[in-house]
This record gives sequence, C-alpha cells and structure tokens, in this order.
Amino acid sequence: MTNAPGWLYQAVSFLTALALVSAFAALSCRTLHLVIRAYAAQSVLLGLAALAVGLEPVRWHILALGLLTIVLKGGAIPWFLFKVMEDVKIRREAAPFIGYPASLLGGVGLALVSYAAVRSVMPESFTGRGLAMGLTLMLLGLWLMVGRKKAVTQAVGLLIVDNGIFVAALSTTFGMPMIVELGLLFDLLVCVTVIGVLIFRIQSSFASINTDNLSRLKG
Amino acid sequence: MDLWLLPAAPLLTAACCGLGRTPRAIHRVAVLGSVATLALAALLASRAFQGPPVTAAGLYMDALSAYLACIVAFLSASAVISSFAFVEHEARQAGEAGFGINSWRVYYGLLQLFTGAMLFVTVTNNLGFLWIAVEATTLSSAFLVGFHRSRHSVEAAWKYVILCSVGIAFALLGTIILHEAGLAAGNGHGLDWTSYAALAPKMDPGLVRLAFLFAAIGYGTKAGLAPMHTWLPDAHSQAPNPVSALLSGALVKCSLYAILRFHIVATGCLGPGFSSTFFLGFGLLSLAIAVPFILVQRDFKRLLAYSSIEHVGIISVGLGFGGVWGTYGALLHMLNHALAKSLLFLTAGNISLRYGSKRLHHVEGALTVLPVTSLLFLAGALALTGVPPFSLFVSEFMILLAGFQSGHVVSGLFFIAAVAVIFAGILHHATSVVMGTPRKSLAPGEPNAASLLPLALMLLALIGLGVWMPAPLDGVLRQCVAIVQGGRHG
Repeated sequence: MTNAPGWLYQAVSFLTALALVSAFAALSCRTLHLVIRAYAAQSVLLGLAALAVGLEPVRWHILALGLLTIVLKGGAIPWFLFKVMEDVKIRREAAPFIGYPASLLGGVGLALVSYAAVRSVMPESFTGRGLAMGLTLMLLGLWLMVGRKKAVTQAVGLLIVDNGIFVAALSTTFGMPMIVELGLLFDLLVCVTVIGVLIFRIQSSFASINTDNLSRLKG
Repeated sequence: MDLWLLPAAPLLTAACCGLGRTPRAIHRVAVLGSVATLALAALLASRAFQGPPVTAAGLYMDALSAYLACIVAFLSASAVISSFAFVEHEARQAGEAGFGINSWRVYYGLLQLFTGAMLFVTVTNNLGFLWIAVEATTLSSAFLVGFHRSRHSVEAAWKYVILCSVGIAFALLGTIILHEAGLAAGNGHGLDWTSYAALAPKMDPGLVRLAFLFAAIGYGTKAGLAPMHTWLPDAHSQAPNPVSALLSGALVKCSLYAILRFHIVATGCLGPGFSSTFFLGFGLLSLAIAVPFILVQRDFKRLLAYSSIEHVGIISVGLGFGGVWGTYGALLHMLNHALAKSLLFLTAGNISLRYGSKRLHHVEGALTVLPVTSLLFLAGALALTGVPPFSLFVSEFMILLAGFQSGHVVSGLFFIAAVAVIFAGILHHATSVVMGTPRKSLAPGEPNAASLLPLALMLLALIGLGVWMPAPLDGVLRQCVAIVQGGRHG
C-alpha cells in the first residue's frame, strides 16, 4: 500500500470509516434484523476495502480474501442468522442490560480510548490507523456482547470482534498466509453453525433466547 | 509425511464411528481407533525423543510436542474406553425417542474430532493453524459439553463457546502482532514457530511483549487461568464424565502448551523475566480463586473443576518460578495432573452413576457400594492433593523448591498455604463420600467395569512416578526443559 495512488488510499479510508459507522449502527438498533443487517453491511464494506488494498500492487490472495469476505460474511452468515431468527420468532431486543443511549456513548468512549492507545505506541501511518480501527471494532463487538441479552445479538458481537481482527491483520501484515485465512474462515463458519444450533436449544429449553436465563450455574 | 497420520487417525476413526450401526459396534470402532492413535503417538514420540525433531509439511514434533501428544492420546483412549456406560446411562434417561443411534454416532464422532484437534495443536508448526486448532477444540467439544441437553448443560455449552471464542480472539490478535514483528525482522510470510524461535533475538521487543500478552490472555482463557476461568466450572461440571476428564486432563494442557510456544519466543527476545512474571501472577491468582470454591463446594464435578483451576495455577506458578526445577516440575505436573484428574473424574462418574446424583451430600458410604471404584477414588483424591507417595507431591515439591531457590519466598509461602487448605477441603469432601453408610439401599457392584483397567493403570503410574523416576521419562523432561528455556530449537 506504500506507493499506491491517492484515490485508493482514500477509498480504503472511506470504506473503513463506513465500517466503523456500521458498528455504531449495530449498537443503536433495536430490532435484531437491523443488527444483523449492520453486520452484513460492515462485512461487505471491509471486503471492498480488502479489494482496494489488494489492487495496487496486485496481491491475488488479498483480492480472493476480499471476495470471500463479501460472499461469506456479507451474505451467507447473515442469511443463516436471519433463518435462525425466523425460526425462534424473536424480533426485538426490548430490555437490554445497557440502554441504547448509554451503549452508544460508551462505544464512542471505547473508540477514543483505542485510537489514543494505539497512537501512543505507534506513529501515524497506514498500519497504525488500521490497528486502531481493528482494536476499536473488537472493543465495540465486546461492548455489544456485554450490553445485550439476546443470544443472536451476542453472536453478532462475536462476529464484529472477528471483523476487527480481520482489519488488524489486513492493515498490519496484509493478511495472514492464504491457507491460514481459509482455515480462519472455516472456523468462523463452523462457529456460527454451532452458535445457531445452541440458540435453538436455548429457545427450546427456556422458551426465550434471553441469555440472562443462563445464570443458574454458580459457585 | 507420517506425522500427518497422527491428527488424521482420529478423524478417520470419527468417520468410521459415523458409519456404525449399533452402539456396541460404534464403541468398539472408537476404542480400536483410539488405541491405534495412542500407539501411533507413542511411536512418533519415541522418534522425536531419540533424535532431532520429527517434521513434515507444516508439522513439527520436538520432545515437548511429543510429550503433550502422548498425554492427549493416552487420556483420550482411556476416556473412550470408559464412555460406554456413561452414554448408555444418558440413553436410558432420554428414552428411545430422544436418543437414537445418531446420538451415539455424534458422541463418539465428536470425541474423536476433539482428540484430533488437540493432537493437531501439539504437532502443528504454524502459529495460525495453532490458533485454528485451539478454536476447533472448542467447537468440536461444544456439543459434548451440552450433550446432556438439560437447561444447565445448554447454559454451560453457550458460555463455553462464547467466552472461549471471544477469549482466544485475543490470541489471534497476538499472533498477528507476532507476524508483524517477524516481517519487520526479515521473516518471510510464513507463520512457522521454528522461524520465530530462531529470529526471536532480532525482533522488536515492544511488539513481542504485546504479542505475548495478547496470546497468553487468549489461550489463558482456554487454559482456565483466573480471572478468565469463569466458563470452566460450568463446562467441566456439565459435560459427560469422560469428556470432563479430557477437558481437564488434556485440553487445559494443550492451551498451556500454546502459551508455552509464545513463551519460548518471548524468552528468546526479551529474556525469561517478562513472561515468567505473567505466569507467576496469573498462577497465584488461580490458586487463590480456587481455594474458597473448593472449601464450600456441594457438587462433585464442580469440586474437580475448581481443582483443575488450582492445578493450572500450580503449573503456571512452576513456569513462573522458572529455572530448571521450576520448569521441570511444571512439565511433570502436567502429566501428573492429567493422570490424577482423569482418574478422579472417571471414578467420580462411576459413583454418581450409581447414586444418580452429583450432589456431594447425596453420596455417602460409597465404599460398601462400589469398593474398587471408591478405593481408586480415594487414592486419586489423595494423589490430587499432593500427598507423599504419589507423584504430584514430587512435582509440587520441585516447584516449591524452585520458588525458594529463586528467592520468591512470599509466593512460595502463599503456594504452601493454598495447597494445604485445598488438601484439607478435598480430603474432607472425599472421605464424606467414601465413608459412612449409604442412605438408600444400593446393591453393591461396579456399574462400569470396563473403565477399571485404565483407571488402575493411572493409579499405578501415579504411585510409580512418586517413588521412582524412570530414566527415559527423566531424559524426555530434561529435553522439554531445554526447549522451554530456549536452549534448543529448529
């Protein structure tokens, strides 16, 4: 990316900025539908960013990775989550642990903290900005997970954490070796499937997917 | 290429289990496959112990990996052998409708996949694949944890998957940062551990420090180091007993092994001080957290789960004290704890099968009902608490000695205090289970006779290693110590 034309730089910055916005969208949406949509949009944006990074000089494995990201994380996984949601018939997150305004404000705070933290150890550069961005997404994903009760939202939080790692890997080392990236994607798909099945089980044994039911094991 | 056979053998067995038509047949296939895997592990390990590291495309087995692979394969074989009674019990409880032949296939298949993933952790040379394999252990064991299908086990499985996946996400970040440090130091685009170990002195110390911290916290979640341990008592207590034995005896060691690989790189770059401090701090915290929960515990398996946290703490403290004896003791303790904890989980499982309860106060006078199992259980409990004739005493003593020699007097004293209190707690619970008279009139007899042979072997090993250290094992441990201390790699 060091001697890429300016417009590519700007495209990557623009796309990742939009991805950050979509993380905040996930934090602020009340219906689970929109939370999943926000994740899908984020994945597509990051996939496009990866395509832009891979264009100049042409790095085939990053281009392939970008395409796979768009197809799997932007398409297949959201589709699967929609299926799960339809079957358990849950639409809204009525009473989260942390209210929506507080959740958004906390998210802004986390973003500031992670940018400041990365700035303090790394100079301003493509790598530094990418790492800060990745760390922010990871923290926002975690924040989504702790703030919500619905199992589906927690799963999306985990997926946003994964997107954060994707950004960090892309911006620091231009991705892992291709075979490792494929392994990671495979793990992610299996993980989402396992989570989907577990959501069904939670629904069938508690008649709800509120994870605050899951607090009987203590001591 | 024959190294690839090691992780492949369980996968093949899993496929065969999927084809089985009767429970007995599936069980036999699984036992056969596990014993074959164990033999293969022993064969490959003996090559790695005697000569230079065994390598294959992407795989690497030095003495340390071979040692771990043997522990994993042995525990897995004994867990599979004793599984039949437990799954049959589940089947009887669930009834015909809820528990078809497919449940048998799923149980034995996943158990094999889980074993395969753990073996892959021990032999992979690529840090990216190390992460993938550790996550694969979570995913393959998730439904084993939730196998019982009660509300509690669903809860345990959910927490297990979510917390472990989030936790080891940080390990992936650590891997990426190490990758970055490696690229800057002139490493190629590969993620081979051997090249990092060789390059370590040339890497940027700041980045390596960051990489180690993230990796250790991530894999530490999986190892059950406090304060990232919160999923562990739930998962270990809700899983079927053979699975708990594997989770606690083998999986925890695999996660520690992953941290050890980063520890070796970090030691090469920063000297032993930095990562040792991490081990010492988290180890002592784990010990401290285990104490109260063990004392007031009411549930058999949660008792054993908290004891796992204690022993991860002990191993971690040993690595933290460092030096030859601290590391030697920690590595020996991995084996000892694996044996003792499997023995306890499996015997405790036999007892609670017969009594139909996991509650400690429901179970009394097991000695009259299950004489052999109870004796094994009591001996296992004594071994676990580090009483002299058993080998855990030896490894704990070494660790303690290393602590005092290296001037960690306060940590050493704290270690003694915690271990002593836990000794009293576990012994109190164990004697109340074994002694007395059973409340209900239960017919004497062993419910799970097939499991007694591996259990007796474990006990023999625990006593044998306590009074006599065989020269080959000593040689292996010395090789492992040299690897952990960064004396030999690649």
